[in-house]
Amino acid sequence: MKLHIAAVISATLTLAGAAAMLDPRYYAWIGDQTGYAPEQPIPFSHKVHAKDNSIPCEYCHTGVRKGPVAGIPPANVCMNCHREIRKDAPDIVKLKKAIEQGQPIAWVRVHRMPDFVRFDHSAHVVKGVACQTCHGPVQDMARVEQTRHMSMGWCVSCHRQYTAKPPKGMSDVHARVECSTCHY
Amino acid sequence: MHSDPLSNPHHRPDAPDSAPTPDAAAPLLSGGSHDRRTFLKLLGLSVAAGALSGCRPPREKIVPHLQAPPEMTPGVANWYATTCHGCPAACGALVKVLDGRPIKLEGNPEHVISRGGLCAVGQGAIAGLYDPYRQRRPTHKGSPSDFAAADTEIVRRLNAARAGGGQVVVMTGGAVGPATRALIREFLAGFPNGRHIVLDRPPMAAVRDGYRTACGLDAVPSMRFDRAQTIVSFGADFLGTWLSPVEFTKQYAAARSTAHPPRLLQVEARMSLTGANADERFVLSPSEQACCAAAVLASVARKLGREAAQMAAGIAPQSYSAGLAAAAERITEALLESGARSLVVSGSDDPAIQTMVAALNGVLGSIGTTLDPVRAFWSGGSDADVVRLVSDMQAGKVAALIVHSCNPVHVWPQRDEFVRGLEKVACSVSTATVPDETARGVEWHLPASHPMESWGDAEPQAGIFSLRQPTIRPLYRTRAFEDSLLAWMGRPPDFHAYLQSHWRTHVHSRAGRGQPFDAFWDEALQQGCVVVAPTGRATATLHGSAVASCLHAVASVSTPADGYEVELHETVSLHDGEWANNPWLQELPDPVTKVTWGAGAALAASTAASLGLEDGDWLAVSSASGRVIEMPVMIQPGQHPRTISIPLGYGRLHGGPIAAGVGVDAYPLVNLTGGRRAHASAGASVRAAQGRSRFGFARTQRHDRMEGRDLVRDEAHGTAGQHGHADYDAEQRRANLWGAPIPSDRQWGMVIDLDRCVGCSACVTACDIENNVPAVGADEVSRSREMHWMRLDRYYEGDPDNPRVRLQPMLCQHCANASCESVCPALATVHDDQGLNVQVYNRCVGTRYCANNCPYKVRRFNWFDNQAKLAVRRLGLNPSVTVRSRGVMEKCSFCLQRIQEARIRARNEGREVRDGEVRTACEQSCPADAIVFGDLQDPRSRVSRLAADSRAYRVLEELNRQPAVRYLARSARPGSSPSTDQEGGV
Repeated sequence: MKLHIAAVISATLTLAGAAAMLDPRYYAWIGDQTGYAPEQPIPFSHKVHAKDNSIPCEYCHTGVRKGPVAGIPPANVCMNCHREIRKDAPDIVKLKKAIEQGQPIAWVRVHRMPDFVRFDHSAHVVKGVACQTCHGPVQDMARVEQTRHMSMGWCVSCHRQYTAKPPKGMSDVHARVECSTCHY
Repeated sequence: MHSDPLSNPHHRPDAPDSAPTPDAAAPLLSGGSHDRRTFLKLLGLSVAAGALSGCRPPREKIVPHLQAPPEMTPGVANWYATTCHGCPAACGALVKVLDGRPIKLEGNPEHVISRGGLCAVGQGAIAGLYDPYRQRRPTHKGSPSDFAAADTEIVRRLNAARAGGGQVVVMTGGAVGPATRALIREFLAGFPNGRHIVLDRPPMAAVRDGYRTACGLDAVPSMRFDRAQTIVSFGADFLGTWLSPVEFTKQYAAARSTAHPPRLLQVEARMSLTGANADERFVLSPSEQACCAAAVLASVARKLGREAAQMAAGIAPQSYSAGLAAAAERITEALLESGARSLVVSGSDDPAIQTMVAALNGVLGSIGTTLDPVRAFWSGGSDADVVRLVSDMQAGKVAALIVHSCNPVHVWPQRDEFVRGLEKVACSVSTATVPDETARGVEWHLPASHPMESWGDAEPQAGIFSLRQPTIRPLYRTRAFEDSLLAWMGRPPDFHAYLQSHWRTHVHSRAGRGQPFDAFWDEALQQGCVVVAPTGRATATLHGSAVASCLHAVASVSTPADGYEVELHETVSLHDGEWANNPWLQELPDPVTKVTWGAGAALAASTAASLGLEDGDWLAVSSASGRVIEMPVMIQPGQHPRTISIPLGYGRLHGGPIAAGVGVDAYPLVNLTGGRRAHASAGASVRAAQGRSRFGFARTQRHDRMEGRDLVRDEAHGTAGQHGHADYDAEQRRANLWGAPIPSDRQWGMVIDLDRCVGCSACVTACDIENNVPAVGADEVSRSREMHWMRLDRYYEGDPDNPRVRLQPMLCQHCANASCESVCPALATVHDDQGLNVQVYNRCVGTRYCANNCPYKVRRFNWFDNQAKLAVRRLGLNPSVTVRSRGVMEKCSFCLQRIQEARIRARNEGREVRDGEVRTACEQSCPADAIVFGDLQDPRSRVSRLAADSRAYRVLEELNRQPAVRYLARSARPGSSPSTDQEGGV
């Protein structure tokens, strides 16, 4: 029988669409921020601080065990060291001027969930999820980049995987996948 | 003009040229299928193009502190103890401060007055902090000014006043604390002719005069409703608005759960909230109440004999109406039975009634039992002072007037005289936080910082102290009233320092217990309540002759007043109108009438019929003094036929944009009688007002009957024997679309005790504020589109002229076999593993099938984008709760954000969630402790024990929705089942 060209095209598209459902990179591409690495007001390098100087993540991101928000460190944390260290470098001078003039630094947000998603850092960090698991190798980044696509499917797959088979170092994982876990 | 194919049924799309040539300028709108198809293609392409191009999440900035306060963690709230500024009751409150902003007030469990409860006004008051109507900078005669310029000039005028001997008057409301009063005294001491005048609400001078005349007590004793066996209230709405409603509700509700609950006899003309809860209610007009009080006092005195009987000697028995006589007899009987465990109160302005009430308490021996004369209410208000002030102002004798925390031009009966008098005051200042009626009449409007931005203290009852601390830096260019006084005294404007030194002298010395002051201060700030034994001893001695003469005076009025009587009263949501610019409080349905955004004159059905009026028709009410107002009529079951009860606080001239045009101003009907405000008066006349179309009240409930369904079960009236444990196993086996429930660790549930709930509606406003529930306005409420997640259903039963009132909180029942879950096409509402019916906002597409199916009608749909757009209003939103947009369904979530927070905290600390750790907003605020929330699967939790009570039942049980919310039926003899003994507070 003669195959109508329209039938062939629509069948191909359907199969392609079905294949796309397999990976969030294809079905969750709207809003996918993977690779987003915006320029920041002060070019803070995690490589210099976290890797070369071995400063632990939680030295600056202090809220990460206490509540939902990890927090960007306030300027006084920077000045703990930079009151003396490299205090004449232009970026440090920028920092110092911000404090003197009372102009807080407006960092550009990299990792952002939509308004209807409620993510809690402390639940994950206290359980033992490493920062790099979700944020990638931040210690290698001169400029912070979002390395995971952070779609809901990505979150849910980890929740399911870790509950079924907790990774090394974690025990008794009950990561819920109920809607009420994150949407309220 | 072409023929529109949609409107012309005879148009055939393919008929050639039946339409004229298509308009070149609007090709898409012409008839013809060819162009319509093109239009749709273009439409589809543009949608796709739009979707592809703009697909990026919004860009945000993160702005941390430069110098972070060490106690602040982003996303984690801190709680501070303070004092609620809603009314002079000065309940202790806790403020939740999140990310530098206070977003919620709760009752302070450590405070002896509020004990963790907070009323609707207290809950809604936080919106006043973020009110766009707030005055943002000082003004002079309406033009922008600044404090420096104002101070210079004001000091100059004050100096002139000092030199010239003119009066310098500081006029405040009744909620100023002892440190502020001390500062005012110090300020005024610098003038030869200085006075502090207090315009209080409610006016307490009559109560105080009553106790002074009758018992030689120059104070208003505090009350213990939980110690009373019989409570008789002559028109005092003590559960709603009178004096200290949170405290009284807490006492009353606690007593209702004991083995010997009090019996409440309410004598009133209107159906008040307290009357709705009364065990026996007597419908008497205000003047009849006076006669009734006299008759009761006379018979009680006679029966008690000895000196008391002499008071009633020589009073001829009056021939009162049958209703009045029956009321007096029954009340006498009840009071004699309970003796010293009686408590008689009255909200009247009439010193004669108050004298009789005080005498009753004295004669029965209640003073010292249910009344504490030493732990007295602060009652420094004096209407006589204000009358004198007005005449002095008009005579030009007042050189300076500073008005703080009161609004005399709005509430004082001599409004015009006050305004005219203000013009003659050389230096007039108002510190109102908004440009209210008084602020617009003075020369300088120097806005005080909001109470939540200020330091202060309170001593509402002798020896009970609390502090008020700022929880946010002042948002605008304002300055605390006390700082202004200090500046004008030439001292550093630091009221914090003054407050500390005042407390060092007056409070620490009495309560210090050897602690150094700094430790004592920190503890006082943290705990929020310092209680010391009140100073002085007050003994009550009955002044028989004074009472006798009062009795004779009243009893000699052989018949109560003829004609109509007008009664003006405060409302639960607006009090005296102070909260008229608060959208949540305007939208709070009155607990009895269920009217929002305005109110009408309450009329009995028979009265309305005799005037030919129906609900919503307009009535012209003229007081005896000749003032007339026109108001729409509300037909109210249980209203006295010759009394018109009118709420105050509406129709404000300069209340703000929210208040503008809402309701009718009833203050013109407040009289000045014998030098004091009279909120009830006789000799009124009414007539139907002409030329007005019927007013549609924005009611949230239009039906009044239970229609034979046992929604509110009442053991005393006909539904006994229908309780008992439902057959849960059989229920599980019944058909259920979802199959067996998911096994889980916990099953959240709630029990609401209808013996305790008084209907105050604090839960409604608490839920609104906690969950970012928007106000929608009168128009939408008329379309039944109010958004409250919690509501109080109010039913009338029995005699329409004096019905039984039943109030029931109704919220999402979180049904295990939910009607809504089965019909959502988007699966936006699902049952989760902890027993909750979860509404997932991002999945909801707005079919509204769920709301259609819900038998309890608790689902609310966002028909519009109701949320505030103004940035300052949005500061008050709770960041822990999603802000819903248009097109999304919402409903009670059992405060899922609080549940999640508790679960995460418990998990992080490696423990289980404790019973009582999660408190829903409604539960936490309830002054009556009627709501209990917890894990039904934990056999030791409070909620499990209550759910197993024999009084427990579920609403519409026959529908097999298997709700997680149970109610405890009203007992025939409340407290008869032992398991209802609940602790209050945490």
